[in-house]
Amino acid sequence: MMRYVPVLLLAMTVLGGCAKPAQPPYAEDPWVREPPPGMNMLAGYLVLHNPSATDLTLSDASSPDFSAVEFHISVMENDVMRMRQEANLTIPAGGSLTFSPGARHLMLIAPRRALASGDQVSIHLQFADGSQLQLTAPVRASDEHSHH
Amino acid sequence: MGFQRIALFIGVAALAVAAGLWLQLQLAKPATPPETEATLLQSPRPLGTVVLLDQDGREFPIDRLEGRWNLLFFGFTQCPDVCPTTLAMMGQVSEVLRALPEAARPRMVFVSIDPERDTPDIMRAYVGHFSADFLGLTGDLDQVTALAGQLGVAFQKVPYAQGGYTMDHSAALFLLNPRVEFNAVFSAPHSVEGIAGDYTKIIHYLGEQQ
Repeated sequence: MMRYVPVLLLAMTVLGGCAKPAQPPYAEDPWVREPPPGMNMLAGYLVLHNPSATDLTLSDASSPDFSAVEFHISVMENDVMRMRQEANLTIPAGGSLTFSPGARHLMLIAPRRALASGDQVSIHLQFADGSQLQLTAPVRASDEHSHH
Repeated sequence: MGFQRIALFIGVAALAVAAGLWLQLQLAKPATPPETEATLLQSPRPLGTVVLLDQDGREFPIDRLEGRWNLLFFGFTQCPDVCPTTLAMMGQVSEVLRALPEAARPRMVFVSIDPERDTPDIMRAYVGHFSADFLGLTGDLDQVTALAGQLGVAFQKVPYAQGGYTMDHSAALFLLNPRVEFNAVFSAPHSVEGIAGDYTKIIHYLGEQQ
């Protein structure tokens, strides 16, 4: 029996490796557009990566800096821009989900404090499997500085 | 990279853009319409009487846009994504077109299709955020609707389930010539290079026609 122990241990290690929680999602370049004066609705952008082997569903978002956070998408139909709310966004296994200007965005509703370029806001993302992701996003004027 | 090298780089880039635009203006006088993403109207369409309110709350008859080229964008200030993205881009186009002679540069105009919320005060603060040169226009809904109708701008109020509303609206830019006639339309998606390049080609071509 004793000589099987190393094999058993090895098997447990390997199996344990497989059973470990999936690789967690992470955010790339999150940022919030600096609001013009009087604006009650801001947009947040980022790329969400899911390096795990299973699809992930983004189910909810919130922020201590805003009354509410929703998922919205700007869609062009016959040259008319329409903004529509979305729910339960899927990030495919090994893939990503992009929030970018003129397309999908986090709609940040009713800021709780005045926000200007250089400020940081906290955003909390909730996934359907119970996992969570906490982000800190800088406020800036536009996306032109994203790679500097 | 030091500040001076960055400044030098920006200076060289700006010179290159200026040289390119200057060349476009100097080169052979085009007899046929230029190839552009933007759509040139076969014949410019005069606008009927419309009186809006400028960002200082004064009456603004639309023929006051006379004497300069104008690029109009229709949107609303509570628009979180498309409007600020487009206005930021128009600000950058303005910067690029500083390479043109002053008389050839466009006036950037933001017209609210949500005048219920967009008062002149709100418009002044909003457009000022993007550029000191922007003109913000709002006014009575029927006057805004009359202008939008003449340019083919569609817009619609869309209520949110939880209260409040958003606006669906055209994302195109509309070119009015110095006689305040509708002359061309730039459809989305937009890019700074696309708008600046097409604008330069179009005003060059139209300038030759006159």
